[in-house]
Amino acid sequence: MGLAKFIEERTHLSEIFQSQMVDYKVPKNLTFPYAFGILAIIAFTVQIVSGMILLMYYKPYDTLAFDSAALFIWKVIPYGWLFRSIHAAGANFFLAVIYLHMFTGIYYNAYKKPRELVWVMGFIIYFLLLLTALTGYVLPWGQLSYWATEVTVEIPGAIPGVIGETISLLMRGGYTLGNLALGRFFALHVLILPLILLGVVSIHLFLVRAAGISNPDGKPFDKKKEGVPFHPYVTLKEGAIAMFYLALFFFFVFFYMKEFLPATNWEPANPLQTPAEIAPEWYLKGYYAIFRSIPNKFIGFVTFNLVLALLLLLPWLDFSPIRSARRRPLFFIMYIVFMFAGAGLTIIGTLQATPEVAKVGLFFTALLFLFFISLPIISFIELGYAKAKGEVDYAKGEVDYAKGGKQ
Amino acid sequence: MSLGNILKTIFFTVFVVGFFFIIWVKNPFVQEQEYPLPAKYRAMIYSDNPQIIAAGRQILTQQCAACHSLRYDGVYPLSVKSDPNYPMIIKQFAKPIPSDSLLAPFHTKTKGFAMYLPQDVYDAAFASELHTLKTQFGKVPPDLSTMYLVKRP
Repeated sequence: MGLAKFIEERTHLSEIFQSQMVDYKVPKNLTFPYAFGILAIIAFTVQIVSGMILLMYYKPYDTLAFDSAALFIWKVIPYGWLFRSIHAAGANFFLAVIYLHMFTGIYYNAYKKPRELVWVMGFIIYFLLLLTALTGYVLPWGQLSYWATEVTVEIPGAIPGVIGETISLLMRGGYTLGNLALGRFFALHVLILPLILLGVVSIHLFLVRAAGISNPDGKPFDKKKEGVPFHPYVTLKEGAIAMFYLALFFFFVFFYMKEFLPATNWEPANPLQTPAEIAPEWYLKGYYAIFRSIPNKFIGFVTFNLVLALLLLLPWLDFSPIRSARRRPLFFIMYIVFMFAGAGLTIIGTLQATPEVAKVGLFFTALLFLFFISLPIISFIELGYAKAKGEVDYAKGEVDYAKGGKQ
Repeated sequence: MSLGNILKTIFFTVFVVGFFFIIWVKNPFVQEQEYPLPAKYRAMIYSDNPQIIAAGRQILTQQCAACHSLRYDGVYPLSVKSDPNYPMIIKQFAKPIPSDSLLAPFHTKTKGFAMYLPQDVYDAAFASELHTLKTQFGKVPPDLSTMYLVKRP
């Protein structure tokens, strides 16, 4: 007790806990998908801890990398296999949770005023995560690592002229993937990107607190009547969900690593022998399917980058004063279309490239763009509807619930 | 909870679980290539006939064990056997096959094969031999005794 008192007198931790966890009120109707934010933080922590342990034994040199990952870490280091499995499965689970978190944000329109910056920061986290995953994928220096990275660094080559080739050369560190690229990717994966990620995640969390958490009903909530303390209500509820998540995660780690550590990657990288199937990981397959479905490489490159840009601009594409898919039937329908398009493109990315598959890929790409195009149209309709009802507060640019805004 | 909300919850749950099942566990859209095994080989592989099993082991010992090991049978690659310390290491570290092992029923019938070197001793004592094999073939030729475990010894 003496030590606790000593620390308390110097840090005032209990006051900070009281003000930040107990006095902080959130809507009591937060749904299950709101837990994906917490799960993302847990997944990030798991990646950092397991990554630090792997970092002690991994050797970023082309002749040593495969042995250090596949032999030394896997077989010699006690429980090395466990930490590598956790890190490999963790990356997939992290991206899965991030996708679910983003889809939740879109469903509840959590990107709208005043949370635009929360969305932008979240998008930057997502993009940095994709880069971190991509740079980490090459490190085991297996056949799949090598060739999937080779394909990835070829993609900017779709830009015509010198620019594309120069970007490819810079990414690859020469005309073949080798030590230079491995060293760069290693530095990016273990230090540069995680540090930036830590910073951006902190800003994201700060912005969530600054702007306040969104409400599933899409309307501002009365903190006194409808708010509950973050602790213990949300911490207990989301703690239980986190336990379930970890149980599921470790089930995969112990019993089903086939998908996360595929057989092809247990062969050392061989620049002279291309494996039968090369494809990016599932979290990039949607973009890969768009790129592959479009016959012109440059247009394919522009199209999948456009999807990323439109995702970033979502708060400005969807300017309707009404929030949450719960109260927006037209948006709800388009959201379902968006879900099917995203899932469809990812599954298309797993199939072998044939003309038929490319046609289906084009169809899903069109559906994806239909969602983005529909957002301003739906917003116009809803804005008109809200104006006609006299429910728009012009000063705030929002539905005024005091004037009887649709609940 | 209204009926609409229940339906929405069911739909989104099924969608998400279904999506990750397809991506991570079983993708029904991908055609996996199958290589049917000719019936006579299938009969041979899954045979319980002790003569076929003994003949198979003899072929493995004669044709494969020079590079692969049959460690659970006490058969090691030639490079390992030629290590001057080999007899001493076997004498000092080899262990009997446990009676509850899957291999035990097989070994009780054929005496002389019931001792094996544990993996850590094998890897440590013959590190340079294994390294030579690895340099020669790109990786250490796998131990074929595991085939016994898989194919019911």
